[in-house]
Amino acid sequence: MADILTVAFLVTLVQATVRMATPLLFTALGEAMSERTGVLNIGLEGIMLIGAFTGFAVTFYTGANWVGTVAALIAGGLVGLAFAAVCVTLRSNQVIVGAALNMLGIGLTGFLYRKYFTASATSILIERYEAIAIPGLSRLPIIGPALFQQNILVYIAFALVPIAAFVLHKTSWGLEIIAAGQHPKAADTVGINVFRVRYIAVIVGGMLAALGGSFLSMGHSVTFLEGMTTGRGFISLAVVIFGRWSPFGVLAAALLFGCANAFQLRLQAMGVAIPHYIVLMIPYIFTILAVVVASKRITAAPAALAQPYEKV
Amino acid sequence: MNRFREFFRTQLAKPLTAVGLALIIGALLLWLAGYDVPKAYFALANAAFFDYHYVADGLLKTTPLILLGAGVAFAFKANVFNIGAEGQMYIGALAATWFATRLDWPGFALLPLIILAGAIGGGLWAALPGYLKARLGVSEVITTIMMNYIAIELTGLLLSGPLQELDRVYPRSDPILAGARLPFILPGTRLHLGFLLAILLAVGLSYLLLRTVFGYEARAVGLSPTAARTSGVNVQATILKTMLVSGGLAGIAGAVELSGVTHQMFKHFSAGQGYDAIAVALVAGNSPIGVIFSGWLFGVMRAGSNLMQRSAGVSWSFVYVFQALVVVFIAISGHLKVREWLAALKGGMARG
Repeated sequence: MADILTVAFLVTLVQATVRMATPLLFTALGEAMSERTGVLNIGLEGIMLIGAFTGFAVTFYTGANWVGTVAALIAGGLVGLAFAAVCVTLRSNQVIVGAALNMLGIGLTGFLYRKYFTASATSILIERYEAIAIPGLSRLPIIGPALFQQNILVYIAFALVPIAAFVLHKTSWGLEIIAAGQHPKAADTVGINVFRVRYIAVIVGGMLAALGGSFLSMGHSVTFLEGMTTGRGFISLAVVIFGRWSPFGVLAAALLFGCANAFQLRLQAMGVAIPHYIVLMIPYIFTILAVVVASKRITAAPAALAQPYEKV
Repeated sequence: MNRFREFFRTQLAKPLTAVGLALIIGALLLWLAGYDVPKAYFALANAAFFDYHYVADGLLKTTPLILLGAGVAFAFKANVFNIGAEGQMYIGALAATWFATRLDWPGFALLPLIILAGAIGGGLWAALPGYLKARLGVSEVITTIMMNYIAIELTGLLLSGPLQELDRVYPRSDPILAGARLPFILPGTRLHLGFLLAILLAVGLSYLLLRTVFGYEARAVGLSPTAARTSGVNVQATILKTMLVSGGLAGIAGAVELSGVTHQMFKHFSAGQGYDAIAVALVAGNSPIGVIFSGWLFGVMRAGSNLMQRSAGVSWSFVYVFQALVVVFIAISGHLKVREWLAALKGGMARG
């Protein structure tokens, strides 16, 4: 166990933690916003897959990463729009439509990938987002290579945290978001357009989930694989709860989950077989504990979560 | 005849419309992607009704969907959103593996034990989220999803420990013993006795739901917990019992898949059937008898997609697109005011 404490191990661990946390951070930040307005979207896994595929496919055909990213954002926004139309306007059950979204994500991406990309036997690779070293900071010991030699998407994800916190806690938009999720009827009476607030939050949530997914196919790896999100959409739901619906809380939770994942990967690589299942299990157990604790006191969950709003 | 029309209008019109619309949109998608639509759909129909081996394969794939779908439907009836059928299925299969790889008993004794073990495993796994919902009001949606992942990691853990094969090379169990295998029931195919068991259990569940006090209470809680409480129903106990039944069925599905199909436990034992069960329950309108037919619909689509892939080159993933569309249409349908629109249209035409 002595080699766990070497500097090289720490650097790779922190580096991997940040890489693992990034897609969760994007997706969970968006979902936190959406849930704050009262809309629970359990279809994140599907949206992430759609984002991962769109980013990969468009980058492959245009040769430009940023075009792929923009396309993923558009795709995610469209899915969010459709989700909002069905769940906010038509007031369908959010859990059921979210479950359908996950099936759609698996089905559509698998269908299109096999149609357009399996002609050759070798896996198709795209250009990766290059790592950008931040002058000065990247030379710091341990933290430098781990935190300040990442690609642009990682920096964007972390920069979104204070931005989201600012919007949520310091602007009138934030007030509208919280009001729509806590007491939509009261919000409506004081002139807040609950429908508009929920639409915007769900669309932004869809865009961020797609961005999180596209990080997997364009930053973390350089190709698309069917089902490559491997449950990260569901983990993001846990991150939101664990982060108590606040942007900085989500950051802490994403890093914790990322670290657990990075740690188990290192354990596996070192040939320590059994404990990595336990390490992987812990975040989920903690999440259940977090929901239980939250239920015991005045809960942090938006009061109107998953409840459709009907204007009378 | 009127009773049939009433049945059609209240029970069949919605799922049939949803399936029809999904087939149409699916056809459009296939056509846009440049596939031979008639050839693809002919392959599906052939697999569903005509080709002996594909028909049997469809029924084989229907089996777990009936069991899982019936469990999910039962919970939905009580307004409990059990998204955890996947995890409950894993735990059921793990419990079954324990006996199926250890006891060299004859089938008539071992098979009931295995199925019972599956039911208890799945039921207990569902009991925790059930308890948390009943006692503390914790949303079962989140806890059951988390329990799914814990179950899969637990599977990995046990398959690297006490349940691992004797050779200790891969994280998987040894093949189950001869007495633990469900007998095949159609010559030349892999269709096993579990299919009949699934139908039997769905019918039994329908009886439980419609003809017993517990079933009545579960439905009452589903309609309105407050009203149920006022009329003397123990809501907390009902929610917990509902989860036990729902998880128990998922656990049986795991045991039956192990005993009838895979004959071995491994980490990625289920390809997400626990989530597919949500679609199965929804299409059936949460009726346990309806689940037999909706389970068959999706089972046939799975078997048919293999034939479709071979004859028309369409990826099997297409089934999931179809499934998602059906679910969305059904989710929307309760909220569209189609009948009012039609009435308004008729009224308008009558006036014009």
